[in-house]
Amino acid sequence: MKLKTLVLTPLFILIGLHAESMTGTTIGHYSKPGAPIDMTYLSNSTDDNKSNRVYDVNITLTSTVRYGTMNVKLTLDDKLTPLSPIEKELTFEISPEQKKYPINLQVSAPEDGLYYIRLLTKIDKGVGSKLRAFAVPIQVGERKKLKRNSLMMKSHLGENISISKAIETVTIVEEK
Amino acid sequence: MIFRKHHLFIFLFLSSLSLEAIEISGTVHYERVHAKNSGSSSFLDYSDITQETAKQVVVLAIDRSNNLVDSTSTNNQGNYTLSNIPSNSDIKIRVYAKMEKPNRWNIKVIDNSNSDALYGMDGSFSNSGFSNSVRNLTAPASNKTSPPFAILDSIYLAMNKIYAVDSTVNFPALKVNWSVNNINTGTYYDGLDNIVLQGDQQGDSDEYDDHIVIHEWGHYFEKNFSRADNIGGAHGSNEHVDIRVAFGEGFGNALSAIVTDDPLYFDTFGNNGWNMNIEQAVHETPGWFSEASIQRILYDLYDSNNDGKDTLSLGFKPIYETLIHGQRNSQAFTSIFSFITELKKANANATSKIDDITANEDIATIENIYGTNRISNVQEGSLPLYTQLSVNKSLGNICTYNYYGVYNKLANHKYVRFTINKNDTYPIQVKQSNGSSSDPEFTLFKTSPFENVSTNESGKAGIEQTNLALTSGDYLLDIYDSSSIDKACFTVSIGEITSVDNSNNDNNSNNNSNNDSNTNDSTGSNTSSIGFTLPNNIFLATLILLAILFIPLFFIRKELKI
Repeated sequence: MKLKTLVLTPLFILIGLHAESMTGTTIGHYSKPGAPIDMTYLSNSTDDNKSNRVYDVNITLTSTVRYGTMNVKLTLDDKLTPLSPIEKELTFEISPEQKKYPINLQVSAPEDGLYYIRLLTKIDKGVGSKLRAFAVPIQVGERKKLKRNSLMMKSHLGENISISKAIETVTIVEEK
Repeated sequence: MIFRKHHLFIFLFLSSLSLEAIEISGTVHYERVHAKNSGSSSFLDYSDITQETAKQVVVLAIDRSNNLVDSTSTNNQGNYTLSNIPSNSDIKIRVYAKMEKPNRWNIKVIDNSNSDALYGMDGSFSNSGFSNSVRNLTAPASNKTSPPFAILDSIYLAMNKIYAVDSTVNFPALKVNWSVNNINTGTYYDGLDNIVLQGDQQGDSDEYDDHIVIHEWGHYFEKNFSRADNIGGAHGSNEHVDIRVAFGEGFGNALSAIVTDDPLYFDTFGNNGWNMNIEQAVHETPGWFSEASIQRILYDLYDSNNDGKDTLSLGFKPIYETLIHGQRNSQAFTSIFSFITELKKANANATSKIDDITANEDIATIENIYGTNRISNVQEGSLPLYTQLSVNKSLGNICTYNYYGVYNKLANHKYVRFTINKNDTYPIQVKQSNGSSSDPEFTLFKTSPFENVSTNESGKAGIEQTNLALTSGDYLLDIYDSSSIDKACFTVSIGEITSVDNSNNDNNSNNNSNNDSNTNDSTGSNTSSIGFTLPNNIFLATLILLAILFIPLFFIRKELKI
């Protein structure tokens, strides 16, 4: 066995073990006004059956308010299927003792792509309520970007431009 | 054949026709989808779409070889004229989501998910003929052509507000990153030359939320023309936040209402959304720590609607002048204290009316940039905000709390002021003094001119320290606990310690039955970014395990004849 193989093997093992695992957080990031809620997520592939990938998704919501009611609406992309029935509308009573509000689910996706679990959160303190939206990405195989109805091309200066069709009217000005 | 004079005349006439330039003019519009507001809810109403003019955008005439034939910009009414179009040529009109004028502005809307491509729209190729023509172009909402132009128009409004009070201003280059693929990017200004806007068409998209676009542009304005010490993070209008966050976010909200002359701020998420009235929202938790209070104060200073305690109509110019002069050069962190102090200095005749407006938000008369003499209507330990430290002394009982939350909330940070009288190298140390769970951190600023001082601090558990060459002047230390425990107390010292000052006791007369527990649970974790990130600690554990297995093999490979 060559030295190169000896060194590279663990690296490949690591890559294989942790493909399609994603994590992220909104904590500490600049954000626009809204409900004072942060989200941290972890999605892990648990089944390497290429015809139907299964993902464990662990979502943790935190809030800086000490009291109130947090409402969460969950929506899944069409091709994401929950493996067991999930509640699409959740309610948490916020208290100083409980700092984290977890949401755990398992989903599967039949084909490659980038899918999202969307959360629309609201904290109702009885004096008006604000919303904040989150999206948890589930990457299955190759990412496919959403497209606008536009063409990618180069400008006369060689810069990248994304051009769409305008609605146009043309009128000839009659010479007097 | 005899070449007669009239043959020459016909030849010259036909030649002149082909060389004569003609004019193509027109108006550029975009479709704006409006929000429907009902109570505190808002949503995009695709049955309420209006055509708006695209002002000051770049317009090009392009031939079939993709060569530029002529270019211009629309005016403030969305009209353009291209005067150098060759007759009898196939030309199409192209409009970019870009405003470009030397020494004035350079703003473009790009697709950050696709090679940062500049957005634009094309008309069709059409022969220019021999007469002038009018070509009107409209960016429709239905195929997502209009969003970049809607975004640009909101920014145009904001810049125009500035121009109305200062015609000399030159806006630094700015890129607005928007895409239908911006699904979990967040909406924010990056502190440099980018604004990022969400474009999730099935969830949160901000292209038509003009108050949000202007709010983010407000951060860009503060960075380039005023000063923003805002430390960012999630925030809500009824929270107790760090005074820098309160002002920075309150200013952005107020600016959106000032620019549009519409105090209704809204954020749509497709069929959902919310709104707040900048001016008339219920005073939930008023005070100097509240972005809602800051936005109401700023809007009341500006508007001509005298309501309640607001009998002042300063307009925008005094606010703008304070931002670019007094606030920009303040020796304290930017907050309502620094802003109001400088506003009152520059507008002495309006002092009592300014005090009335701040008093309406439960803010006692502001006397200086440090906000001293605050009435204690906040949680124990939140005051004082600033503490004075002498060189060669140490100061005990500088405590941070997470009662109001973590990272950017009131009392997460404490500020220590000190003065250096002699250029020299000074040790700076922040050391935990209660328990062993906190992780002290500090950031150092010199205050005149106000700038971050690089510290290269190092530390072992419970101590953060550095040795720095400091020049004479005033400084500010921003101290915080990155472990975000409930209560973290520190002893702070500058220079060689000759005595200890424990007079900054953190007990005050405020009693609170919801006293902090001593749990060490940290919900704040400034670790990874949302999106495609590296795997978590399982990765590290696996790496260590494999290293234990394979590193010895590496060293004995010769014996094994590998």
